[in-house]
Amino acid sequence: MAQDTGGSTPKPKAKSLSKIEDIFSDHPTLKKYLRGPLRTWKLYRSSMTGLVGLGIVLGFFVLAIFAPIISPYDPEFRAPAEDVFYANNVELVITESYNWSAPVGLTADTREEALIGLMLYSKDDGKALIYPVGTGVQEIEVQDPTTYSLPVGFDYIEYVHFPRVLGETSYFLVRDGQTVYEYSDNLIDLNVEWDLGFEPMYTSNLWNGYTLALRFSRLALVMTDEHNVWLYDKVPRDNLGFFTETRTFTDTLTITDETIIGNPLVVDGDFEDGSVIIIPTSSDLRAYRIDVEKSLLTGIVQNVSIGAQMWRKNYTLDGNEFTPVNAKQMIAFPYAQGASDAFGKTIIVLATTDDDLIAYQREDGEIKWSGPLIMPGITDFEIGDLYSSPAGIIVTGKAETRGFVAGVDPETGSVRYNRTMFSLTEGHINSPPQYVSGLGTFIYSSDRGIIYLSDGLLGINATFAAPGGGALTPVSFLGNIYIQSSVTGNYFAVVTSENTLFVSTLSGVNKAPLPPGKYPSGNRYILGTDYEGHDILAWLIYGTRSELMVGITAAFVAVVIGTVVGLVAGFYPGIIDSLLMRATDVMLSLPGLVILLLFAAVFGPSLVNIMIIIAILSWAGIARVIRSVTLSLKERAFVDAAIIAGASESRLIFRHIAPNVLPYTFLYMTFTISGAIVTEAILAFLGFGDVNNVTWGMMLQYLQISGQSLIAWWWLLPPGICITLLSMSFYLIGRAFDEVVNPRLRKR
Amino acid sequence: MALIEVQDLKVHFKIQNGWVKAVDGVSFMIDAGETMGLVGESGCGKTTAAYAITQLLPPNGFVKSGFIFFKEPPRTRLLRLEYDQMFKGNPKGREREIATMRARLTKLLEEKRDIKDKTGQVKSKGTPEQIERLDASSAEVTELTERLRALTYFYDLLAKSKLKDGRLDDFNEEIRKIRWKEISMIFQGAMNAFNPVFRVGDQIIEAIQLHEDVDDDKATERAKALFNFVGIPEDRITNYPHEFSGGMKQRAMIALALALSPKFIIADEPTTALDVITQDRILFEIRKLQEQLKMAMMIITHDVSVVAEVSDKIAVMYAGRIMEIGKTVQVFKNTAHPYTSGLLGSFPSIEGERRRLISIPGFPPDLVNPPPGCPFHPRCGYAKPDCSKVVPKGIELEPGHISYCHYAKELQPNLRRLGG
Amino acid sequence: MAGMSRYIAERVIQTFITLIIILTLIFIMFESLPAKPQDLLAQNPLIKPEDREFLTAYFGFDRPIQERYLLYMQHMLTFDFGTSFSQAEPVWNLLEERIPRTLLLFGLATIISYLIGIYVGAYIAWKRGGVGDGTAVVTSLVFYNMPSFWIGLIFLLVFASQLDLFPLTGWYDPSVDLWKPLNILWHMTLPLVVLILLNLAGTILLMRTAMLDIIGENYMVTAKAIGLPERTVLYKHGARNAMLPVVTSFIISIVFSVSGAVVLENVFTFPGVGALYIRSLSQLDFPVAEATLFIITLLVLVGNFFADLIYGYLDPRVRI
Ligand SMILES: Nc1ncnc2c1ncn2[C@@H]1O[C@H](COP(=O)(O)OP(=O)(O)OP(=O)(O)O)[C@@H](O)[C@H]1O
Ligand code: SF4
Ligand SMILES: [Mg+2]
Repeated sequence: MAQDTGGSTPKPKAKSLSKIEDIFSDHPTLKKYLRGPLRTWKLYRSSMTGLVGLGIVLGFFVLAIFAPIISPYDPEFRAPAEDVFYANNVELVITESYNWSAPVGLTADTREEALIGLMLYSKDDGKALIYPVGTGVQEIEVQDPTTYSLPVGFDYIEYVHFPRVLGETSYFLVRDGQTVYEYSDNLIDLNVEWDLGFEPMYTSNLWNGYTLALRFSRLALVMTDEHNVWLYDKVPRDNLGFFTETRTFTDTLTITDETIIGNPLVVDGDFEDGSVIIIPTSSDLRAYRIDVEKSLLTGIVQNVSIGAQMWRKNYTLDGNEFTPVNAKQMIAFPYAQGASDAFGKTIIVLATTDDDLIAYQREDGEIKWSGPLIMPGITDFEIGDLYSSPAGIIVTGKAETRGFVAGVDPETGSVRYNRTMFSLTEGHINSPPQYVSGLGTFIYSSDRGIIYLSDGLLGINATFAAPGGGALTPVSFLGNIYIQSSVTGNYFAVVTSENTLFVSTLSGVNKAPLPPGKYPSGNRYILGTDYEGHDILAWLIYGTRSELMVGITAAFVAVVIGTVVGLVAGFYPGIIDSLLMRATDVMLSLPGLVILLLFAAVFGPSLVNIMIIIAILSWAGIARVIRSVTLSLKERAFVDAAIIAGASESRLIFRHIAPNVLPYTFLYMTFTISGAIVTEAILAFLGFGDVNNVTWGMMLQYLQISGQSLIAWWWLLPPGICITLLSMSFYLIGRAFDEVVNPRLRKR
Repeated sequence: MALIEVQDLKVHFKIQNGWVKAVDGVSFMIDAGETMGLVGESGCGKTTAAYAITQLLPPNGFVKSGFIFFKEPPRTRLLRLEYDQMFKGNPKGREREIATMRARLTKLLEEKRDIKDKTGQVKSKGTPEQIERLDASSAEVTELTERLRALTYFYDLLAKSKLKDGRLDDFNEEIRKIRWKEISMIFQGAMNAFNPVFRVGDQIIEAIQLHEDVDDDKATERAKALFNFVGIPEDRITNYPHEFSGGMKQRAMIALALALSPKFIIADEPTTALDVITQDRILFEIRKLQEQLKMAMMIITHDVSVVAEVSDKIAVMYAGRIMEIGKTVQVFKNTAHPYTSGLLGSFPSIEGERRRLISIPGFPPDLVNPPPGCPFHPRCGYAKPDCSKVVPKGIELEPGHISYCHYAKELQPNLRRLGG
Repeated sequence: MAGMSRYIAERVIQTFITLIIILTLIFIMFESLPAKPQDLLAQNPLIKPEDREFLTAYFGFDRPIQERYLLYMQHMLTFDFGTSFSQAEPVWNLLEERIPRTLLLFGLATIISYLIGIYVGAYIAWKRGGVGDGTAVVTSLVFYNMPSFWIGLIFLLVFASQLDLFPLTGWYDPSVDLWKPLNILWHMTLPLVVLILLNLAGTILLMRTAMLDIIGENYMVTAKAIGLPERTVLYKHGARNAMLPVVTSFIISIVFSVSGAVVLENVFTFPGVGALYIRSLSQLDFPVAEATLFIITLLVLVGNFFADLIYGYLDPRVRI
């Protein structure tokens, strides 16, 4: 009985199409070829949702193709500092006026580098002020200080902090003459004191030997006078119960044949090998191993000592002798401690009296490169200080406001001036440019009392003048401020004005992600920006490209596999068929996405891998459908006719069955595209996406990482809406096309 | 007495490119206990007519006009016809009449209540005038009610369930009570008429218990008896439909249709799936039962022999219209329509004598754009020019024998007829 | 009923065979990964040398692949998963309390979404073409194509962060004074609702299509002709039949919804099996990854097995 035809609405006549038909009516052959598609289109266009889907997909294609024209910015664009950065100053008056040290940030051990306090130390009267730092909703709050008294005249050395390890983890090292004292972080309890037997002149960098693989922190510091070397090495207690207390080891070494002329350098090695101390002497550079003795059974460190000399190199290069300017400028490169093996070796760079940069290789001290630096437009550049950074070696001029960033060629180890020149408006850099990891910027101050925030190439992003002007202690980067339980990169610097009574706590707040609107630079971000100042709209538009590529390619591969399997299974009943169908059964009951995650985790997240895996995991359903279609086609008369006519099997499959299967193939392609788009988004979101491509899923992952997902709706909504829209449009096309292919459905 | 009277029924289906005029002005009447055969080529609208009566039209089916009177008392019918005559082309007048009658009725009822209040509800306590008055008004109320019913088509099934746009309210409460209890149907596709996931017996029991307050055991007993009646072993009531053969399903369907001894059964190709012997037996049994219970029946079929065997009356349908209607003998022996004649020619004679089948040339028309005038004219061998212009009116040749052909009278003697 | 028990037996065997095949596939996948588990084992200093030896023997890293395969099969089928590489803890300890949580989340979501989906799908198909139908279809289409995590994030933003009605993370908060089951339910509400919405969309669309397919069936006309009230025709006769294809495609939906559950556990930091899986992957903790993958697969297969049973119950035609 009754078929139901409810809800079918008579659709308006598409005028343009009938015109097309008119045009082609004069060309019989053309018309013949167009008849199929035209008929399909006639049926298709009766579906409202199908038309909507098609329209949206076409829209996205236009976006993808014309992305560079349509997009307001390109994907690399970042909102300038004046839009993104906003200075949040806290000014505090110090009642007493002393000769304050550079401020020290005290960080909590529960979360990585969470700033909980600020310390100022005055050598003049041994006074130390600790300001607790709290966090408000959008800004930091510095509270009233607690004052501690230490013996007058101590040299403050280091604040030693073990991140990631529970328990007592912070220490202050101070020195008075020949004695080194270690206080715990309340500045009251004196832990240990060492009588070095000499008065140190040079102090090395504090080496923080955290190794990811081992999950141990280790710290090393070296102090020397002209002949004596003292090693201070600290292994914290771990939170896993292997050993329960923090252990400190010290050792000494005497160099009699030469005079030590500068700060030693502790460079990384891994735990097994021990680290290396590099000591500049009057005629050469020497490397000593730091030996670590461990218990064979438990792996616990038993002793740390200065080990054998590994190498020593004279200050000669190609027969030319030189002397280091000042070994204070010796740095190890690359910057990141944990990644010592980025080049397979560590490079040690130092500056010579001739203003050259010399690079040594860490293992054997071989000099890899030397030569005069050629800087266009700059004739006389006197190297002041060297600082390492992820961007390269920051070289500042001695008496100038200029500097540059040099790089190390990982192949040859050569140091090159390969980055931009930078220049300060006033003064000379007086503090090590400190890398602010979350922002990708540097913070440093000049001796004229200006604090600079700059990008990775030291292009200046923002400047801050200390209140009251005048000279400052060097600026310090103190750590991250956590706001609302997520890292929101409030970066912090403290400056003390020398003779005024100000402590100006200057906190730069990264305002990004910026909500939609117009900003001081005159830029308009229609959909706002993400955390790094990327324009959301631009990323959305460029993201269309990868989405379409992933969706279509993955679906294409899946559909090809599925169609071939389906055809073969449908055509060869019996064992082949049942084997293939069993295989599809298994494939269908595999939790696809879950397995996808496994592959993505292990084979590395690249778009190509993702496409292949999606394809492999989605062919099964298609194969089933194609098989049943093939089976029913086989029954049809024309196939019989073809068999009688003596067509070969392959001819039969490819000439007679395949063309009739194609509509289904196309149909399932649209559905698979729809699924692939969402799947890719999920992968990307869970952190298994390809970081080299802008995809919508990626945008959402960045959002999640940045911890802004509960705030930045303008960042949360658009990518999700786009994913949904695009996926749904392909799905709608599929549904509408389904009605064309399966007339049974048309009546609905 | 007419049990069911269909008058000028028009059912059209809405499809993408227009309207299918599946039933386009059909009228007939079946008396209690009478059997009418409805014959016609496939697609001429037989099932649609049946569905209109049972109110099972699909959602795109619209009742464009017509009435289906069910169990209308004869006097009401006469009154209705009179009123129809009176108010032809004057709907306002009818409305006014209805309004006055209603007013009068209300007044009478009030008056009655008044008197009753006075007499304290006990009639005998009233004064003689009061009693007289009461009796008089009671009589008038009865009369008025009957007239009102005639005027408002009270017995029209469609009036109860037809929505504004012509669609039928599928689950109208009044109609639901009539369904199966009063009018049941043996479906054309009896093969799939049972729900595959329930036992056949349970489905029959469900129908019984829906309309009658019987306990499970009684209902099961009745289901078993019905199975026996249609010749299925009674223990098979616990089977599922897929465990039945096609013929068994058909018989189970018949059992279901008879389950509540309805007043009227529509049998849409009831015996097509059965072998000749079973077919005969079942037709015989149905006939018997029908006589016992005074059931009326409408048999829809292509099979003229079935019709000839069981029907008192025959209606021949073509392209949504009745072509000829009359007593079986009248139609078979005094065929008065070229189409009937052609149709009869398409079947072997029931008298056993083998004859060449003469089929009607051409195809039934497209019901979206049916031919103007007599719908049969493109295929009619006797067509004259005005056949394609004027829709034929019914010509009553004998009482009850009507042919919708302009030239019925002239052609009747020449037409081939059964056995002739 | 004899037919039913044979049907069940067949299903059990079939499920088991599929399980073995899938286990083998998982084994092959892990074996063919570029990162070898034994290397990772060697790298973790937390694992004592003697433990390392034990684990090497346990997983058969020092043995030929075929023996390792048998070992693996034996371990998996006896739920003996070994020790986590990253946490130096038996895998079962990690799984033990997570499995019930995931089961609860996933099971509740599946059952609720099927109940509602079947009901709503049948209803809108019945009233097809109306405003309700259109709205439901469009809404379902939208939800069907939404990435699960995104809805999750939006729910967190709206209901947890802005309106502060539900907690942001977790499974149970002892510091809140609430009867424990309620406390858990309160924590589970958001992931549960999102998962239900996701599943619901697919179920509604599927059910609607299935219902539209059977609405024109003859037995539906019969049911109506008998005089049954609308509800009975719709739900007893219609939905009952339309459910059949919905139950058949349960396997596809369950895979879909397991994936959804894994993702959502992460978004809502719900301490279940899915979250553990993702964590183990990012740490390349093979024993845990293997075990969780196995559990998830098992969940799918068992779910599907039950679906088969329900199908057998619903459709008399299959239990021959
Ligand atoms: N739901 C529907 N929508 C549109 N047209 C319909 C619908 N149902 C029936 N029709 C059309 O109405 C006409 C009459 O159909 P009907 O089923 O009443 O024919 P019939 O006389 O019963 O034929 P048969 O003898 O083959 O059963 C046919 O042309 C058919 O195509
Ligand atoms: S009216 Fe004319 S066309 Fe129609 S049946 Fe009679 S003769 Fe034929
Ligand atoms: Mg019919």
